[in-house]
Amino acid sequence: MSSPRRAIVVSLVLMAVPLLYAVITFAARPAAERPWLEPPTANTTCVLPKDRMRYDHMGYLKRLRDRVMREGRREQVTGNHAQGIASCRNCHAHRELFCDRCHERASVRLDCFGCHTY
Amino acid sequence: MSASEQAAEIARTHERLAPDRELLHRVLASGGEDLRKCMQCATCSAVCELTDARQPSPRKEMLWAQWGLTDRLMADPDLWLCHQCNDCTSRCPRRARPGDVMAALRRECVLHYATPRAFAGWVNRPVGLFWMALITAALIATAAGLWQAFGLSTTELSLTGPRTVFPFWTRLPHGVLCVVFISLFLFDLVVLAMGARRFWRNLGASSLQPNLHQPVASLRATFRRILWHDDFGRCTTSRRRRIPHLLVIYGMLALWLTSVWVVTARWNPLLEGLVYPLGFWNPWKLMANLAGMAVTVGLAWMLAERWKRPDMSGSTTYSDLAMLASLLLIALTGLATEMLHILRMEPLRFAAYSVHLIAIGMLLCMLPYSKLAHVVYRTLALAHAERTGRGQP
Repeated sequence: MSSPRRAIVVSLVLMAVPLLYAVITFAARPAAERPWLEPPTANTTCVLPKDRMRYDHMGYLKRLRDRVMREGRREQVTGNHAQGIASCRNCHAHRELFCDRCHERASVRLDCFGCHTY
Repeated sequence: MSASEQAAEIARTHERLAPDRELLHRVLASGGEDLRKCMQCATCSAVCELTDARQPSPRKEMLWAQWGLTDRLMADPDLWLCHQCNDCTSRCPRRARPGDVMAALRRECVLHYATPRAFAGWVNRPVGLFWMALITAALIATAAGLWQAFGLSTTELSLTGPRTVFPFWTRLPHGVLCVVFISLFLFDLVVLAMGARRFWRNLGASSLQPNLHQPVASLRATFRRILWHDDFGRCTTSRRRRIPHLLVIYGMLALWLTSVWVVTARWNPLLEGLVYPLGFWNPWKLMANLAGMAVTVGLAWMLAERWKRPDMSGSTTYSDLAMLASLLLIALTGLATEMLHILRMEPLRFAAYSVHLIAIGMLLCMLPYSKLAHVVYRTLALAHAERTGRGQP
């Protein structure tokens, strides 16, 4: 084997390393344990479908905030939802048993509840 | 034999040539200016290490180019079997520089099979480079503008969750870059595939030798040849070009893999929980840094060779320089962006990154019409050669 051949083999092997690393870390990763959450008290649907809500509740809240505070449009915060974020309590009674459980698991720090009581 | 029989015999055995004088002038103007000095002594064919023994080149290509036989030249695999070792050029008694003529003919071949012909010609003029930079910048700006107008960037930002996002990235988010660069890449693939199809058909139609192997087997043999760069190793005069070419292509391959990896981060299950930007010791980061350096060193080496030893590396035309310079610009601005990021020099970093993006867009715009198209055409010609047993003594 001539010397450029050896160098080519070495560089191809090196190129495979990151991919192997990703595959191995993926395979070795333990399945994420789901935290226990308090089930909703009222048997009604949320403001958005469950999957949407699980994935995008923060985006939903931020867009709602922008609409109310910056544009003065309150059409979504009437009736059941008149209390804004505090209306979530209608179904999810305890912040400690619902919001905080996932956020603690995911190491997400919020600034919502510095001002808003829940 | 009667006169009419004689005429029929002549019509059967003789081919009426249709010379294309434009071709001659284009070749003379793009690096092959010494073509007309050729006196057909065939020293070039005798010294060539890569040519086929039964129909040797480049003597016949010199004649075809002088006569302007475009059809034969454009279906000629020998153009692409040549790796411009310049053994012919250094030994030519008339200094007709066959190596440079072959390079000019390869450029003509790329233009011949390019699909919007007018665009291809325009891209290969120096002024095209300037306009392409503007077009790419405008493309990215338009995509970013549309993205903003349809509120997609707020959606995207809300989907990425609570984290710090610089104002720059809200204007130029992941989605915009994916849309612009993936569509440019697909455009390249389509144009190259169309050219490749026509080229492969012409190769088959004008082949004088029967097919010995199956297409798949010959393609496999070709990839082996490309993998080791065996043909470069058979050169005598510019044997050294093998190393910088290896550095550049394997470096670009690694960078391309990294880009694919980063682009798919959102959907790739292997990348779940990936925090971007990657840390310095992340294997992908390490590989991309090494590859960036390999590409830079390889390109600097190529430019230095052209500068210091023009006789060995062939004459440097605009298309050579445009390719080397835009690749070098991409590598250097990429490395500069990373340095400025590490140094936290924010506005400068964004400026370097913008230049980097525009340079990549430029490269993708001109790729199927540039020297880089040899990736496809040379591979096909080598596959054809493997299939027909061409070039093997």
